[in-house]
This record gives sequence, C-alpha cells and structure tokens, in this order.
Amino acid sequence: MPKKLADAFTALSIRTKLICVFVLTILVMLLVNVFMYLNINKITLQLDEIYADNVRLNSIADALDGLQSSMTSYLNTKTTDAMEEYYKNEQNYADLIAGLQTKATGDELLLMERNIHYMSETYLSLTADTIEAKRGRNVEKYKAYYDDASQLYEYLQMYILSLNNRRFRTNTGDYEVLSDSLQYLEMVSIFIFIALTLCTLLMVIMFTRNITKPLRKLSDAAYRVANGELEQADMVEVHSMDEIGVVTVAFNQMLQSIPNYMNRLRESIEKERQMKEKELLMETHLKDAQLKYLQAQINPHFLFNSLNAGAQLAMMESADRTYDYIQNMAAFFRYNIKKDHDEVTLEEEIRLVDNYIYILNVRFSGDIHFEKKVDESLLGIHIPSMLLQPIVENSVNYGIRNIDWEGRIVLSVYRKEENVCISIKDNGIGMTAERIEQVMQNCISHQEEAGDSNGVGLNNVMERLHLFFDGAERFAMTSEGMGKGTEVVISIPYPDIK
Amino acid sequence: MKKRNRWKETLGKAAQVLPFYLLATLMVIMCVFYFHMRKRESQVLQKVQDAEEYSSYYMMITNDDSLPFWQNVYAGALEEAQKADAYIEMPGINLETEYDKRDLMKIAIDSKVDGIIVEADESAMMTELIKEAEENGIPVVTVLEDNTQAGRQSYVSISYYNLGREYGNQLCDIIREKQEKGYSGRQSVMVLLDAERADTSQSILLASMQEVIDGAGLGDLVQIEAVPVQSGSAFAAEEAIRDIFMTRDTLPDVMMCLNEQNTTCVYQAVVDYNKVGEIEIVGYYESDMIRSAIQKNIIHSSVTIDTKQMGRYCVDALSEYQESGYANEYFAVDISLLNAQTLGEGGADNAKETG
Repeated sequence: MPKKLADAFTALSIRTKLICVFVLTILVMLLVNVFMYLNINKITLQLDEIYADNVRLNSIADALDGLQSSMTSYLNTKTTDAMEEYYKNEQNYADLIAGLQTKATGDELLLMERNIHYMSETYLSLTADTIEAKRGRNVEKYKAYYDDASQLYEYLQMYILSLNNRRFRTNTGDYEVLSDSLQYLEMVSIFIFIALTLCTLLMVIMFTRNITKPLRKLSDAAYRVANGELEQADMVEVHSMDEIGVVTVAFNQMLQSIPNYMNRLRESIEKERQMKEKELLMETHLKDAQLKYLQAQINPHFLFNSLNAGAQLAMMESADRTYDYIQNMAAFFRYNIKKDHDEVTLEEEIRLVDNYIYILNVRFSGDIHFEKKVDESLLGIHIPSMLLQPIVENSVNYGIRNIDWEGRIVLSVYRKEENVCISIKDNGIGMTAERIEQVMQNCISHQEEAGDSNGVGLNNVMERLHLFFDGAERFAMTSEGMGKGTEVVISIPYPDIK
Repeated sequence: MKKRNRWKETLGKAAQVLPFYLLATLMVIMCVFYFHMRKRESQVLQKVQDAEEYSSYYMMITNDDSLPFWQNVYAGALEEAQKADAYIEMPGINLETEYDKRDLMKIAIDSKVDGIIVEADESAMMTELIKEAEENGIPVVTVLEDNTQAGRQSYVSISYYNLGREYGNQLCDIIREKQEKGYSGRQSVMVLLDAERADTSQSILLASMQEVIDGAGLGDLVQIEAVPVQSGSAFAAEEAIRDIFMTRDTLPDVMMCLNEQNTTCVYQAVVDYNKVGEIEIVGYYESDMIRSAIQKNIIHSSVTIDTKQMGRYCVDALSEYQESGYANEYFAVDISLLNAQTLGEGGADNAKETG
C-alpha cells in the first residue's frame, strides 16, 4: 500500500506534488490544532462546570436568606415594600429550587439535593402560610408558622451548607484530576507539536531533496556533456515522471543520439573526403595519361610532317633556307623536350609560337600573317608551359585555315590594372556564342580536337590555368560573330610575376 | 560496492516514506491520548452518571449513627432495600452538624421520604413526630426501641425476655466459674440500664435474668444492682461509668452492659483502673474492640444480635406496608452469644444462636 502510494506520488507533476505536500502539511497542522483546541476547550468547560454546583448552591443559600429576612421583615413591619420583597424572593427561590433534582438515587449528594428541594417546598408553603396568617392578624398562628419556618430554614441552611461542602470536596478532587489532565494535555501538546514540526520538516526536506537531486544529477551530466566528456556522461537515472523526469528522459535520449549522430557525421565527412581525394587522384591520373598519350602522339606525328616539309624544301631550294627551317624545327622540338618543366617565361612561350608560325608558314607557303604587340617589360613573367602554342594552333586550325581572305594572327601582351593580359586574336571564321559556351564548358570531345594538332587542346590549357591559379577564371574567349575572327585572352595576376 | 548501493537505495526509499509513517504514528498517539483523556474525564463524572434511581427512599434515624451496631443495621437495611428497588439513608452522617432524633425526624418528614425507620422512645415528642409523619402519609417503623403511643407501622427488636435469659445464663456461668475457683461469697452484679428508656423492656430483661438465676439456685449468691446511665446527651454514658469507678468504695464483681457504648466504656475503665480479673464484664454486641477484649479475657462474654437481620426486617416491614397497606406489628431479631470459646471456633459467624 505505501509502495503504491509512493509510486502514485512519484508519477505526479511537481506542481501537484507541491500542492499535495502543502495541503497535507496544512491539513495535519489544522487537524492537530483543532484536536488540541477541542480538548483544551472541553477541559476548560469542565473546569468551569466543576464549581457550577457550588455557585448554584450559593445562589440558593442567598435566596433562602433573602426570603427568610424578607419574611421576618414583613412580620416586623408589615410594609408593602417588605411584602413585595418577600414575593420577589419567594419567586426567585422557587425558580432556583425548581432546578434541583427530585429523584431518589443511590448518590448521597443527589439525595441531599432532593431533600433540599422537598424541604424548600415545605418551607415555601410555611412562609406563605405565615404571611397569610400575618395578613389575617392571626397572631398565634403566624407565630407558630414562623417558628416552624425558621426551624426549617435552619435545616435548609445546614443542608445547603453540608451539600455545598460535600460538593466542594468532591469537586476539588475532580478539579485536581482535570487540572492534572490539563497539564498532561499541555505536555502531550508540546510533544505532538514538536514531533509534528520535525515530521513536517523531514517531509519538506525529503520532498525538496527529491526534486533537487535529479536536477543536480541532470545539471552535472549536462556540464560533462558541455565539457566534451560525452563518453563519461552516464545515463541520468529517472526517479519520477514529473517535469524533471520528462526532461531527464529527453536528456537521456539526446545523450544516446549525440554519439550516433556524431559518428554518422564523421563517417559522412570521411567518405566525402575520400571521394574527393579519389576524384582528384583519378583526374590527375587521367590528365597525366592524356598528357602522356598526347605527348606520345605529338612527337612522331609532327616530327614526321615537319621532316617531310624540310625534305621538300631541301629539294626545291638551296641549303640556307633549309638550314633555317631545320633550326626552327630543332628549337620547337627542344622546347617540347624542355616542356617537362611546368613553368616557363612568357618570352620562351612567345619564341615557341614564333617557331611554330615559321614552321607553319613554311608548310603553308607563308599564308599566316603573324603579328606581335608585346610589352617587353612583361616577358619575364612565369606561366605554365605549352600555353600559347595550343591557342595559336587552334586559331590556325579552326580560325584561318579555310578562309578566303588573308589570315592574320595578332599576339598582344599588355598590362591591364593588376593583371597581365595575353591576347591571341585571329581574323578567321569566328565562333557563335553557343560554340564559345561549349568550348568554355569543356564539352568538345577529344576526337574533335585531334587531327593535325600538336596534341595539346584548349581544354588542357584551360584546366592547367585553372589548377595553376587555384581555380580562378583566367581564360576568356570572345568572338564578334561568324567571319569576324576570335580572340582568346589569358589574364594573369600581376603580383604572381616572379 | 553494489551491496552498499543497494543498501543506500533501500535506505533512501525508506527515508521517503518515513514522514508518512511518522505522521501515522503521530495520529495513533493522538487517538490513544484522546481516549485516555476521555477515560480520565469519564472517571471523574462516573459517580454521578452511575447514580442509580430508586422508586422509594427511606430514612433511618438513630441516637448515634456512628456506632458500628447501627452501621451494621444500616448495611443490612440497605442491602434489603436495594433488592426492593429502594434506597435508605442515614441523614445525620452527611450533615455538617449533629442533629438529634427530633430534628432528623422533622427533616425526614419535610423531605417527604417514603418511609422512616427510627430508634424511637416513649417520649411525647417522639409520639408527636411519629403522628406528624403518619399525617403526612409517611410510614414509620421503630427499631430496637419502640413508641407505643403513636401509630407506628411496625416494631423491629429483640426479645428482651430472651435477652434477659441470656444475660442470666452468662451470670450463672460466671458464678459457677468463681465457685470452681474457690470464691464462695455473695457476688455483687451491676446492670447498667439506659436511663432514657421509658418502656418496659429493661424491666422484662431484669425479670427474666432474675428468673434464670433463681431457677439455677444461685439467687442467694447474687446481689443485683440496676444503675441507670444517661445516653442521650453527649459523653454522658462515659462520664457516668467513670463516676462509678471513681466514686464507689466497692466496685461490683460483675458488670452487665446492655448496649455497645456502655460495654466499650466499662471495658476501658476496667483497664484504666487496673481492675482486670477483678471485675467480670458481660457485654453487648460484637465490635472489633469487644472481640479483642474477649480474646484477652477482659470481657467474659458478649450478647449480640443479628444486626443485618434487624436492618432487613425494618425494610421488609416498610415494603410490606407500601405493598399491602399492612405490616407485621413486631419482628423479633435473633440473639447470639460471643465468648472465648465461640471466637475460637471461628468467630461471630459461628456464634451460638440462643434467641
């Protein structure tokens, strides 16, 4: 039963618990107070009642004296006042003795009361007879009645006195018992109040402890979690299903889910990292493979064509021009060999373009008009190798090869604000905006690029620029429309010039 | 560690319900205390609550209520009265002053009691009072002593003839014992009479005593002197008896007492005046002191009457009168003898009945 009660109590909300405790405490205090008050009140009333008999007997004795003296006074003076006094006293006495008991009982004091009652009746009758005889001037009779009444008056006095004394003795005994009871009650009251106070105090302490203990545990656990000691933070025990209990359950759930969530997050980051790494690695490998593949293609192909041209030249003309041609060929191949180095100066790149144009002009009978507008102070800047030649090659192959008018390519190097701009502009067939977008979006297939090229396409150029300058957009291709030529501008940040 | 935790947990759970147990205990203490208080208070008021009601109420008026003789008569009367749904009271006991029989009779009449038992006398005042009671419809039973003038309903007493014979027998025994011891002279016997008794009972007693002595052939050896002793006024009997011892040149050989008070006074005087062994006492009634004196051989013997029976007869007479309007005129109470022999056999209960 107490366990059920305790369980029911723990299931209550804090508000209800608080109300329960306060109401219970107040009720118990009230009950004890009422109990004590009623007891004390009862004893006090009994104490008052104890001597009520004596007071009543005294009143009867006084009334008797008054009646006797008023009767005597009337007999002496026969005045109207004395008569009125007599009647008043007679009525008073009659009223008082009417309250006396008249039954024959086994209690001697009650018997005395009964005797006083009946003797008083006789006495009243005698006094009435006396007064009547006096009024009738029957001297002999009223004297005889008066003597009888006086004698009875003495008996009554003695009876009242005796009863009063006996009652007083008995009542004193009762008074002592009740007085003892009152003292006893006082002691018990003090004891009960002290016990009740302790009990209530204990109850309040227990209750507040029940509320604060889980709160403290919860806050300790929260601190541990806040300090990152997630592994050391144990589940907080749930004692009750009140508001704290609900919070504790939620906290425990949170405590359970945090490591899971963190593990999932960690796994996901790890996975992403691994994937990126893999992607990067694959891309690098692919580029490397592509490069190696292109390099492998460039050398025999170009070398073959060039040598073919050199042979034709040597057949048609004298050895000077052949000599120049072979020089240029040699320079070009030398650069190709050197290009394993990632960075070269702009000057070296422009020289390679010169070589390339010379070879092409030899191949295509000087159809390509190549013009340079170079700020020489910028020739020392470092750029990735094999950057300009593929662009020039692109301008030759897709810009001016099949045009009816004179093909022209202009290479400009100039400074614009904080950047160094390298512009390769042709007056070839030009490009539509969609085509430029496709080229920029790297959508041109490698097959499309292949053919009579040295193997390094625009995509490669753009990607290398992208990697070299940490992802910044450095490559721009513009065309005013079909037949209006194309311009490629590479902008390199000036502070990067080494 | 686990055990300790479990213990701590149990203790914690116990501590949680502890206040409730304490409260319950407190409530039990309060209840116990409450009933204890009620019990104490009820003890105080018990007497009044227990007072039983009776349909009749009698008064018993005697010369001296404090005497064990009358106390025993009263006890017998009360016992019988309660059987008959009546209560009997000795009014003088509860009053702060001592009233004489006249006052008490007046009180009884004015209190409108249902019956009066009175140790009467033949005085005119008593006759008047009994008549007044009769006029007020109160039946009167006289006890031990009678008033033949008024119309009392019944008279409860001993047979003075038989009593005289018993005294005579005891006197004969004493004379014979003395003869056996070698005393052959004439024995003077003093009989202490009640001076205030005006009836013939004492004369009957003396006559029957004389008759027994004469019948035993011891009349010449005995000289009987009847000495009246005042009993009505305070201390009169004691003073009169002391006077006998102090003023007389020769004290009697045997003193015969016809009431309890005289027996006690004579016994004390014999002891005080160093007359033990010289004066034989024949007493009346059986108080503790008289028993003790008999055992010490200071009192030769004591004639006693069945006091409780006397009380019973008084109440029976009143009840009878109330029921039928008539009552037996006379109730005779049994007489028995108390001496060293009967005491040795088992006290007064086994006293030889002679009445």
